[in-house]
Amino acid sequence: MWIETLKRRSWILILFLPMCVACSENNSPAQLVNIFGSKGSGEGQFKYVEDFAFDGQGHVLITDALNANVQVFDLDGRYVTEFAGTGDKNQHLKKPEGIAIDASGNIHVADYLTGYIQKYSPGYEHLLTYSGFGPEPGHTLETEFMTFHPNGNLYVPEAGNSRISVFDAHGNFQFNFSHKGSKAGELLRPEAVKHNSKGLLYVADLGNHRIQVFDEGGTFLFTWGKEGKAPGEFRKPSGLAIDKDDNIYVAEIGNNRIQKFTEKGKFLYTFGKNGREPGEFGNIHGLAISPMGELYVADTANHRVQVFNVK
Amino acid sequence: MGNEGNRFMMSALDINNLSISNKFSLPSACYAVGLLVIVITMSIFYHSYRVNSELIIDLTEQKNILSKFRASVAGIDQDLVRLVYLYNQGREESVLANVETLAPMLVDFKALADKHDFINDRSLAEEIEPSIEELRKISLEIVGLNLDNMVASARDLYKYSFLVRAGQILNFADESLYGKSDQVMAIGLKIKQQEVIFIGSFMVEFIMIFIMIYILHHHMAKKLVDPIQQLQMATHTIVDHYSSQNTHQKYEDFFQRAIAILESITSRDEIGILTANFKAMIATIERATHDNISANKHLAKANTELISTQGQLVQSAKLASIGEISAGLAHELNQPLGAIMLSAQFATELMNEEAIDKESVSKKLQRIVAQVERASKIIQHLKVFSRKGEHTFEEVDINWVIEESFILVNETLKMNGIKLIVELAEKLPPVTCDFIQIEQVLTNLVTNARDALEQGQAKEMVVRSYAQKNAICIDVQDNGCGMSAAVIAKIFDPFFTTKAVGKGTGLGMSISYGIMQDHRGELRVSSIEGQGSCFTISLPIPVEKRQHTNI
Repeated sequence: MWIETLKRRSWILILFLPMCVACSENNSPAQLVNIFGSKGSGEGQFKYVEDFAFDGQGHVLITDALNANVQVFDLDGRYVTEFAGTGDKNQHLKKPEGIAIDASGNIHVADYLTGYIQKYSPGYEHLLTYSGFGPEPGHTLETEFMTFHPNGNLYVPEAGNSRISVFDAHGNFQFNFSHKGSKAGELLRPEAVKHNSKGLLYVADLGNHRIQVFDEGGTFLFTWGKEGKAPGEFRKPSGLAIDKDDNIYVAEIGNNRIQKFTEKGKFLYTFGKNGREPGEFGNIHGLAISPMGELYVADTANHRVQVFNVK
Repeated sequence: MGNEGNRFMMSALDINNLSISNKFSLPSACYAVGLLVIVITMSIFYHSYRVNSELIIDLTEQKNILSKFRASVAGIDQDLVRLVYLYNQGREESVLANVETLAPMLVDFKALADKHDFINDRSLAEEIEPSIEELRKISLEIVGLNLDNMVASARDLYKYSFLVRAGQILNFADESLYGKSDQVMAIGLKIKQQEVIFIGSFMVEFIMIFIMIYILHHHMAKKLVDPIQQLQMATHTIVDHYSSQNTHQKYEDFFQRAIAILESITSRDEIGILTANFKAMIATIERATHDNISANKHLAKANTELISTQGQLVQSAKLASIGEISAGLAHELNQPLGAIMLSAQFATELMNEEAIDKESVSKKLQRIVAQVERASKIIQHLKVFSRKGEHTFEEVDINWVIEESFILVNETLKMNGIKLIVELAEKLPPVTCDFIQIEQVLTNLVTNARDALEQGQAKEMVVRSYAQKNAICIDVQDNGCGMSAAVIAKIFDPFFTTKAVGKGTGLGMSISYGIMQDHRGELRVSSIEGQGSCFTISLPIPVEKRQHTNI
């Protein structure tokens, strides 16, 4: 009799197992809450989404490398306005990628192709052009996703020079650190630098498939990860985001997924995969945590932004 | 058993719509499904193999494009170095040609990326377009420069801006190549895994289908064979009953057993119809058997009666024939009696004489004894002839039988003035018969011939014996009045007679015919009206005697 019961139960188990798996997938800690954008150069359209910056007015500013502009959306994903764009004037851009907002609310946009960093007022008026193209200190080559540190300095990763350059909010060069290499503390085409609440700098070391951590003075602290597909491993890490609890979100172009780690690099969970469906990614780039705590994802190949509620 | 339940079902079997063939539809469907499953498996595998192969080819092609891409950039670089630093004029065309190959190569690369939806490749290729454009611009600019008056630092700047773009493009090539080798290897591995899965699933499917079909067939065969076996058993039961002459068991038991076996058959197909019909047949046989048995009882009774009646009849006929020859018999007996009388008188007279002639007296007495013997022989034969009851078959010489029978009929022929001619063949093989019955037949035939010769002139009767083929024959021929065809046709019918009322019983010929049949012999007649008749009896020669006689 009990064997019969067991048999029946095992059948039920087999029947419900896939459902449970499905349920567990639905119960992923990251919930897709918004999706916006389509391919093109019109309002609210993207050609190559790069990175995000949140201003103090409830807007998200998004750089588009191929439209060469910055588009402004409200936090519901509605298009507000845009600025910059191609041209030969000062305020114009060729291939903007990194974007950061200083304590005064001014917007700094780094141009990958020209090496210039443009500074705009909170009303999107051009204020200043600084840095320049080249390997010499104070100049930049192939700038990527940057961050304004609480110390008031802008930390700019340079893929071309494989280093981090530091400027103040007025565009004055301060110093740079690290150099091309694969040893600890060395970089290969860094794609992003972001800071946590303690002021530590996390760098997505794309070419070395790892995350490196420095202090604000550029001293190497620690690193984690190696090339691979397993949890805690990376293939071309690109975007970085750090939430208020100092958890790290890492996007990988090679795996088209997002991994979440503790500030010390302990793996928490992963989500997303290669594809065009909602929740799937292509050529994934910048990440950012909104003031609401939501994770913005630059789903570059799909020409859209996906917003997740990450617990 | 009710007749209602055993109604016979006659239905023409439609070859296209047989219940029995419907039973095969499930295994057939299984075959079809099995075949389909295997075909689907094979086509899935083939499709996936084709897709994967194509993927590998296209990935390789992409790698080739990227290699060419790098080669082109390197070529431009070399040309520009010669152009800028070595004043190696004439490199302009080569630079321009190489520069213009980049965009079309990128288009090919993107086409392959789109074909397989390599999501990163397409995006990366789009990203690099501005850099390619920049490279093109700078290259054109350098080619168009008047380098003669240019200072070295200016040259370096041009060269540097070219190198940065070239670096970006080479970096794109690196990034696009990233993971391609892994991808190719992964696909290769996937193909191998799929092969294993395919072979595994093919085997499993094959075995499953085989088992399923085997079980179904077994089930089917059982469903078909079981009722047939039951039918066979039922048949056996009936056949056994008839073949074993198992009389101590009631035939109803056998039928009931057969019916019980048939009741256990539940088939609703053609075998079901066959079973129902079989039941109907058994019921019919049972009824027929029942009728037969009661009829047989009646028949047996009638037969017994008939046999005793026939015996009586034969006896009566025999006595009647004695009656018919009684005048002759009386005369035959009277003669020795007369002779005895005379001899006795002579003997008495001789005894009265003085001198008794003992020799003469003795002669007379001897004659008396001889005559008594003669009468006694006749009476003795009459006794044998008229004996009632058991007759036995024994081997006798037919000529002897003929001679014996003339003891009784000789006198009546003489009295009627009939000349008897006896022609007996010699050395005839003995025949097995009841000679008294044969004598009865002969007596009957002779008496009939005598009557047929009643009105005749030169009355002649021929009795001859001879062998013919495998039989011994006796002809009784007369030259009397003969018979018409109508008479011949009825001659062997019982109670048929042409004689005056009270003279014949009408049974003689039919009884003779019966006797000959009992002897496996024949009684034939040929007759021409007004010229006479010939009756022939034939007795078969026993097989073992035939070779010796060689007749």
